[in-house]
Amino acid sequence: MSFLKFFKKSIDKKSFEQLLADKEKQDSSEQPQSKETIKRSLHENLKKIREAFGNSSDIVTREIRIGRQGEIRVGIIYTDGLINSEANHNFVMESLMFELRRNEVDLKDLAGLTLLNYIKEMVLTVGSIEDVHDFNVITNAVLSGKVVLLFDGYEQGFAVEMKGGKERGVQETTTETTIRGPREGFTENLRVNTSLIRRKIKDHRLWIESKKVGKVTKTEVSIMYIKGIVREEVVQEVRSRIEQIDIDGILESGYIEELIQDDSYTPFPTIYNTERPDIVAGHLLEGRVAILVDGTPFVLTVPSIFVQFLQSPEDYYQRADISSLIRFLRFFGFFTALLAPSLYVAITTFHQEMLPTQLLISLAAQREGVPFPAFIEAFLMEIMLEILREAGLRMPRAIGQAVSIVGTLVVGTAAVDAGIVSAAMVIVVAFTAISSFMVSSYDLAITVRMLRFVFMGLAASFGLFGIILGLVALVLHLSSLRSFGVPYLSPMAPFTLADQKDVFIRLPRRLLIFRPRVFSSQQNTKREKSLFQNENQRKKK
Amino acid sequence: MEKAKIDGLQMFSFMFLFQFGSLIVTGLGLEVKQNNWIAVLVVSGINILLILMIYGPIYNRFPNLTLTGIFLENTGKIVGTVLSIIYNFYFILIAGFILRDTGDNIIKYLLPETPLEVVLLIGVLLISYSCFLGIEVFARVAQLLFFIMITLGIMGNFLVFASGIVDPIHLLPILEDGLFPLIKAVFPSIISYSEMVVFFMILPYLNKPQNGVRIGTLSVLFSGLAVSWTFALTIAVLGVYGTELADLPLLDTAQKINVGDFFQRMDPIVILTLFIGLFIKLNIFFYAGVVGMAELFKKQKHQPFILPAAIMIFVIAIVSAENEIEKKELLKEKLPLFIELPILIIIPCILLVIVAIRGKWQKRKHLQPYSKGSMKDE
Repeated sequence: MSFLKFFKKSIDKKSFEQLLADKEKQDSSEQPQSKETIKRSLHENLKKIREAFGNSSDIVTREIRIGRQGEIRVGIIYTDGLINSEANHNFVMESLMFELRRNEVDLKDLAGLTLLNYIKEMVLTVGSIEDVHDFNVITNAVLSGKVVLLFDGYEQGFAVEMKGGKERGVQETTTETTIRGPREGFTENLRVNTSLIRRKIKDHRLWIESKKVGKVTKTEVSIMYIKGIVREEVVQEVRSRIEQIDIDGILESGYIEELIQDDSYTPFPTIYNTERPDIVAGHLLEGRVAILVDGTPFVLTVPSIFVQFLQSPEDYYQRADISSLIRFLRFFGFFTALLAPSLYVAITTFHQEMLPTQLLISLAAQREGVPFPAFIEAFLMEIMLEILREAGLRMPRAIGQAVSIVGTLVVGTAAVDAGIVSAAMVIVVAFTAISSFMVSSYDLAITVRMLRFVFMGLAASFGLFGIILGLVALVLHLSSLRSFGVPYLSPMAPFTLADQKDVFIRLPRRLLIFRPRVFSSQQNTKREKSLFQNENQRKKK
Repeated sequence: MEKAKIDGLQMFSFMFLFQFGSLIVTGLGLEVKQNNWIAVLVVSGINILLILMIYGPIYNRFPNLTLTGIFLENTGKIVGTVLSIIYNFYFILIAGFILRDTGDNIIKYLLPETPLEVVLLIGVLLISYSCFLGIEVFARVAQLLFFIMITLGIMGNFLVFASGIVDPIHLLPILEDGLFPLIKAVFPSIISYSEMVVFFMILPYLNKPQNGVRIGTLSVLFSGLAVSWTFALTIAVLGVYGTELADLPLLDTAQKINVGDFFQRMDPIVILTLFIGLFIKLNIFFYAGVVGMAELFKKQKHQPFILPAAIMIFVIAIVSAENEIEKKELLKEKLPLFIELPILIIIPCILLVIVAIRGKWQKRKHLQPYSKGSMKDE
């Protein structure tokens, strides 16, 4: 919460600033790394590289000789498993070792080129080649799936792009399933992921910027946006926040999410993550920025607003009226998941007069043998439910069924029969659990699960008044959040009439003419044709 | 003053909920029996007059300044400071009274066994949090609450009519003695509802200052109509006798709702409505007091002043009255005559005269109308 930030700032402003200054000094002293250029002797170079990698077994350093008499010694360095070894054999080794000999090339007269340029331009049949002079560059190249060639007697080498190795293919997503819509999901490979998006948006204005993040892991992080639709300030903000990340390792996009979000002290997710390319493509078209991280199938999109966590891509694939109804149902599910147990506790503890008499009598009869107050009863059951759910997630799939059987039998039937909890309580808890599955985003569902306990506590101490108080505080908190400059509760607060078409209901596509105003830079229409018309009109003006 | 901007709709929500919250809780004009809905209209009319004739001209002259700034600018440093302190204390005082009133109502209707201090404390925590987050966030929430309030109102009206308990005969005869006795009967308490002065502390955040007076007038008009309608409905349902007996007539009305033996006991809707109105009102007074203090101490941030102000309203809420009767006497008789009459009407009138004279004098010297930049030039 911003409380903490504020106190941090106001209490010891000086020491805080001092700390920052010190940190900057440290950074600047670390920056200039000693550049070590490669030497003429191949033997020395290879020895040095082997030492740098501690003779790791997966780093292959091989010496070959090329030329008619084998007069030139060449070192080949690569990481086994990171490169496509078949391509390496065919296009690097074979070209070097056979081509030069078979064609009986005279190494003294190479069509006017130096030896290295000759090899680069006429021998190696591969796509991308970079010149390398520096040991640091060589190490990085070897580790990112390149084959490095060093030549005896030259202070220069080549890094040949040869990425490969075993990777998971494009599969169906397991976390976000839909009835209708594309099945494919992102993979761990950044390139595959960008290509999945490119296949959906074939436009030259879809731009990608990449950066290596993490001092040790050197993970590739790409930001993706559609130039002309996205707001420039947002891209700039994303860029600078990623720039500022100072960490040793990035293992998942969750790291990035935590490091670049606006407010760390909130239970609510302010950055959306998804495994589905169609969602990312949809967000890009609305004018958002996608952040892709190598090594994880979860892609982040910013800015994010509250309501989108209660929307599903299927809302746009189905008929508008049905989607709108389901959206209402989802909002209802959100509130039940948040409030059902606390309302039960509040009403049965404080406001019995609100219930119809018949229901009240039946409830009282059920609760007669229960030894706990309603709050404790609800609390125990909710904890039990959370344990069951969490246990089901982390265990081998084969035992999963056992959990559900034990869960239903013990919690559902036995507890009621034993008189530890009332049957009504079991109904409420089960209803809550089912409702929380309605919340389409897992991140928001977790938040709701957590806040449910807070509301139960408030309901147990202050009844309905406590719940109302909690809701007002919750709305206050939500209104104070921002995601990359966009208020979290927009377009409800601040209210934008034009954006209401796609919040609680989804109007037919014919009426969804404009992009959401909160995200995109211009009021372009959603349909491509009119997008260009608008641009032309603007140019004429 | 913080750097924030509020748009017209948000300001309208503020003012509407503020007025609605003030008028709906109290049994205003019960002295005139079935004509109390006309009394509400009279109060709103007087409010509109006050806005158009006193507050409006002052605001239009200084759209960028809070009340503290206006006093310091027009009455000199010493008098201005003294007046500002008085007004800030008044805001805090009223916030304390409202807090007490809210707490009492909550204990009476929702939590009979909870100690007053506990309810007051969590109330203070809530408003402190909202004040801490700043006016912009609070304005967004007010806007949401405005929509919620409208929905609740429409729902409540529908349920009341669907229950078939409305009997317009109760409203007759209308104004059997004429308008004057009515005004005379409700006179002292009328003053209490002219609290629009507090918006001097919030209006400077409005993004289009030229709309300020219009928004104020419209909000008072609409809230007056809404409350008048509600009161008339209450009388039509409960009758004069039932309304006089009830402590919160609206609550009794809601309890009579019965549609198809399923929609019964709609008290939560009423309590929610009252709570929203009171929360907004309390919060605006609290915020005005805090910001006023911050401005007096020439601080940009108002957050450090929240804690002392919170302690003050908590103490005021507890010590203001021993019991319900004492509280009623304080709020209905002492407060309007001895505190609110000078603060809400007399001092603004004097201020208006000073502003007008100074305006004329400045015009003669060919000075531009007042703006923040021109103060440094003088």
